[in-house]
Amino acid sequence: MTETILECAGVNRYFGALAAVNGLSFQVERGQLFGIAGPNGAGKTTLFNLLSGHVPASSGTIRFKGEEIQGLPPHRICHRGLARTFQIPQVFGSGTIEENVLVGAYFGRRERLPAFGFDRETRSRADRALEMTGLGAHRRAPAHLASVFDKKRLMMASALATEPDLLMLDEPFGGLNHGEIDDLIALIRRLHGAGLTILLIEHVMRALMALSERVLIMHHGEELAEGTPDEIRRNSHVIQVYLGRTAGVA
Amino acid sequence: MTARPEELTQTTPSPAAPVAGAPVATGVSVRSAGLDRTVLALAVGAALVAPWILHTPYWLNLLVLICIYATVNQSWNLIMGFAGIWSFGQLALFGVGAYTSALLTYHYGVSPFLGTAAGAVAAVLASMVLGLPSLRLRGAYVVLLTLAFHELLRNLITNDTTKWSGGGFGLFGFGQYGLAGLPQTDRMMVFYYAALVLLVLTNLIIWRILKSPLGLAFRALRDAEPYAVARGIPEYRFKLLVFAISAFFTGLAGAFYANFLDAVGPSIFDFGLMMNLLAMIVIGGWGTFWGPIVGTILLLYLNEALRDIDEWRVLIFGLLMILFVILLPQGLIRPLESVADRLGDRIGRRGERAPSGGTTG
Repeated sequence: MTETILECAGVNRYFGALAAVNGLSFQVERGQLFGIAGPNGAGKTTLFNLLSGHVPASSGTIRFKGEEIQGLPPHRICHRGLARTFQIPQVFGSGTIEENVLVGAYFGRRERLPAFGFDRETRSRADRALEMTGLGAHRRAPAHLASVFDKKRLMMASALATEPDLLMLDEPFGGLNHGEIDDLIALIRRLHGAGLTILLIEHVMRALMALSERVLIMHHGEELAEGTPDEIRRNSHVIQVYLGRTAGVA
Repeated sequence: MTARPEELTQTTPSPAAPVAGAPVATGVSVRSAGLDRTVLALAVGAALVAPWILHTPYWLNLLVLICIYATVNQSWNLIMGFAGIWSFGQLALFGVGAYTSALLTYHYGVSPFLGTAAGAVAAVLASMVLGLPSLRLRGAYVVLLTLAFHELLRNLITNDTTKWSGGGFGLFGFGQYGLAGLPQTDRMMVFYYAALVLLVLTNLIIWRILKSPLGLAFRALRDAEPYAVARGIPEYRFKLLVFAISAFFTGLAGAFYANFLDAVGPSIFDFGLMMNLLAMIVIGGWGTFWGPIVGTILLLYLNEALRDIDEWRVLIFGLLMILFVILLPQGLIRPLESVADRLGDRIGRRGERAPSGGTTG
């Protein structure tokens, strides 16, 4: 019934003597919402960079949809259907909101030599992504003027415009207020509800625990625990290292 | 293939804060297409009329140089202003175009037209030599590498004792595209209109590229490279492509320049000339479409108008460049555009048609 979409086996990444990611193995099933948390410096973002191809793994295998992708450049990993966002909001600052999404819609699907204009299919993919993320009304606004919340949604929109099989979100809730966090939880639920597989790194435990079906806790580049949110809440290691006593029962 | 890890671990580079002096311009104008078309019609009209008003060899010579250098500057602006690659090999590629056409025609009797085309192709090939090692470098290191390429070429030619390349003296008497027999003013008129075709074609094609998905990709790579590649943009391929496009027009202009002057020498690699070209782009507004063109016209004119003070011009241009970098880093074009916008708005509000080319003849 279930199909493994992403499988990491013994993945390592060393920066000099530091093992940023150390022997990590886990699996994400298609349609799952998989959460990753851990203290600062636990290696979460490095793990994302390994998966997206921005940083090559020192060793280990990363299998996406059954094929090994470690060693592929980032744009090819994107073409295979794995799209990510960044912890620090990234925008193409010289473009409009719409142009930001068009980048994903046009280049994110396959290798192509650019034509003179954007075809109708590309535009409708971009439109759908803008509508899904609630940015449709702002399409003509310059992207560099967008709020933090809008920039984060915009990163998601340009990722969605590539029509990914797996969406990886790197701390999407950081720097947002309560209302925005609720809006973003609702958006992620909608995307997940529509069948999208999502890999989520998050510090805001309220959001992570509310959303995730499975949670992996990292510490010093290694797996500290993996399980359902309930199992994680009760795990004494996790409480000790990461959650603290009060949060553990919350 | 991959970014350096320290760029990407916890502290992903922030594109939001532009580097001081770096182009923060929005690139392709978002203003009404109508106003753009009006400006374009006026500019082309003026360019067509100009040689009949400034109908002396002295002025015609200046007009031809404006067209040639504006072509080079727009190509430089494409790679540096829009694609964000800090290549300082532009004048070297200009020299490759000039020398290739000169050598082919001078030594091997190749048709000057074929030689000109070969100059453009040679510049593209040279740009690959320049571009490939630049791919893994960033910012100041690209500047150093491309400047080294420039110095290498200059030294090779200056120190060539075989006389094949002309060495420090250069080569003469190979060019003019067979127009040498025409009276001077007539010849200059032909050269001017040919140079204008070069300028307009180059700018039309670059304008089209900037408006296309490829232009968007160039800007995306400039604005936020890790993000751009994460959205499927093949970084290396497109960077080489922008090197090639920019080099093609620069080499073409270089070959045309050599044939126009009927001479080529190592002074083409003069560092002062490179600084002047840079000043034209910076003062006009780099990362904007019209900036390099306006800057080229303005500085080449000033260069002639201030001929009496001779070396002081270099000082003045240097000071101007410093002032612009500090006070108006986006160049002259932004204030000019906002004036044009206000004018356009007013005209639009009155419901009148914007004035068209008028005396175009």
